[in-house]
Amino acid sequence: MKRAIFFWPAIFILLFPRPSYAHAFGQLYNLPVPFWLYLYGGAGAIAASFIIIAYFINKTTPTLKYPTYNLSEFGFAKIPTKKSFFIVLKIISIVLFTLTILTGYLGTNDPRLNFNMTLFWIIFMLLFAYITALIGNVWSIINPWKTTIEWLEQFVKIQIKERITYPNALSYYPALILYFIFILIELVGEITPFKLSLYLTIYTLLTFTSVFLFGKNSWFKYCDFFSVFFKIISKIAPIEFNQGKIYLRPPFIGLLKEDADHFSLLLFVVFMLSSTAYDGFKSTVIGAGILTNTLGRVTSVILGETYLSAQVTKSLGLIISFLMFLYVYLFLMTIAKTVTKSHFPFGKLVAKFTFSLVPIAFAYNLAHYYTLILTEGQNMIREISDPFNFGWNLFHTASYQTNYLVVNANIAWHLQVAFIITGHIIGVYLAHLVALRFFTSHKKAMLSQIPMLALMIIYTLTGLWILALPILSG
Amino acid sequence: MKINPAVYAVLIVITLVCLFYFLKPKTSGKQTELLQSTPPADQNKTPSPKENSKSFDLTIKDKKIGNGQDVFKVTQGDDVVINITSDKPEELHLHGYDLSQEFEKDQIAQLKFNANISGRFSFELEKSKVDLGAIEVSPK
Repeated sequence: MKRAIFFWPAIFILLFPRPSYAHAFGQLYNLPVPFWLYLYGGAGAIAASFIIIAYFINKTTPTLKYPTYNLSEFGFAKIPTKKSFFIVLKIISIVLFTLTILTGYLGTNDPRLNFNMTLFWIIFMLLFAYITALIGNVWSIINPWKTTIEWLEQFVKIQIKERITYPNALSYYPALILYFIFILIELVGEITPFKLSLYLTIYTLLTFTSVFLFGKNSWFKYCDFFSVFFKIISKIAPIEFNQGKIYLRPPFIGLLKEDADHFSLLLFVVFMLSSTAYDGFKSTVIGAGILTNTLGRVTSVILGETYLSAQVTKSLGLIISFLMFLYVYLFLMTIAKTVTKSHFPFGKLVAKFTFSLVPIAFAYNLAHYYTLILTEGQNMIREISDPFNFGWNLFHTASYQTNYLVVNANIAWHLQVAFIITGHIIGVYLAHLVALRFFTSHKKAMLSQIPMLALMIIYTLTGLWILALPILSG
Repeated sequence: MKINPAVYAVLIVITLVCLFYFLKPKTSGKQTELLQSTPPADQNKTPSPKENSKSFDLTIKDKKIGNGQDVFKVTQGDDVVINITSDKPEELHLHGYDLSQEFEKDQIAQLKFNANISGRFSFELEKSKVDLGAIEVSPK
């Protein structure tokens, strides 16, 4: 325990370091959405909601039925069912993971030039998440930590058994805490390639230790936040695997196949939503002003007008934004419970509607970050030729100059608003389907949807408002 | 009466298209009012020699903007001129367009470019790595 005292200052310095680069990696080139488009987004979302309500007025669907199309007859669909294909994917995953860590330790520490920053933040956390939303939970197969453990088990011919029974009460809380730390590092950690590698090394050690103690099933289901995150996103995919066959299904329908099995999963989804919104909000003139004039005043009294004080302010803002998003959800669900006079426990009710928030969370993410793939994603063309910054030119692309002018503001605006409206429409639609399956009376189902609709509209307008706010300079 | 779900989907699309048609500003080339809290950039603008050219004065004091204006707003296609004066020699770098302009102490230097791509591009003091502000290029 005494040793931990020596580690904490080091962790603190890593989390709240001195600023090292004026403009960080991942700079956005988007303009604030114009006022008329903001109005359109809001009006469009509300108008579409009423049409959805009209659709559900006379609808009763207690069971979930949806069309599927068997893709297994096509040659290309047979590839993902072959064992050798998975082995190749797993090897690629482990190689890229190792490369991410090694390039951070051995390459340049400039975030704009190191291979590992582009690969991890842009290709993995953004592009791979969007691919997951298209084709399903590939992460559960290629997870490099899981693969390493499984191959190790096969090599030594011993199955790792849990030494401590995973406490059920913990549920998804470890994943939520780790996800929170991850976002905190992303937003205020001034991450550098070296620190990224260090954090991934620490996370690897944590994974192996925890798997040794609690077993791999519990860790990868409840604690590994990457697994929880990608599993949630994969529910969007229009692809379904069933008994070795691949089916095409309506997108987003996977979100209705099962309910959130614990309150902590709701917290995870709400944090997905709030953290993206907060990232956008803190970069706006109004957002930064509010933070400085409220939380900033408190932290500066305690810590003085320091860089640390500003970082603590931003961190507290992340927590408060999460609590606000959660409060709105719980408050409106309380109203839903009251107006429907439902006898179901509150926890069960709030868990039921958890996944109907995912389309909005995903839309927030797309609207906020998708342009980064087009701009920062180009760095990969250059960096792949010289991942260690040793002066190599493996693919003759080492001199590629990133063109940051590829994103037209007009297209970016329209797509951002289109993502938000689409996310809203799907969210409202899914919530109605959940209500019809959950409540025995049609009247109660429809009543429950009035506060739910208010919630969706609040979240959607908040997302649009953040996109339309003037962005902080400097 | 049973109505096909596709009818509702079509209704949503028609509503969204109609709303878009009615809310979209009819005049092109003029930027619509944004949710603003910063003063309009044009206030400190010096008279333009041409209609599609915009000129800004950027005074740097102690690695900060001296004249208060840190966001310059232009329209796509404008010829932009930034007149830089500073109390120290440095280099101004405009991201995205990837342009640089060195300048000496108390001597006016000009950064000229055609804002042919829309978006938001920050500029910084390259050597000191200090972000100063941004140029917002609105689409036509």
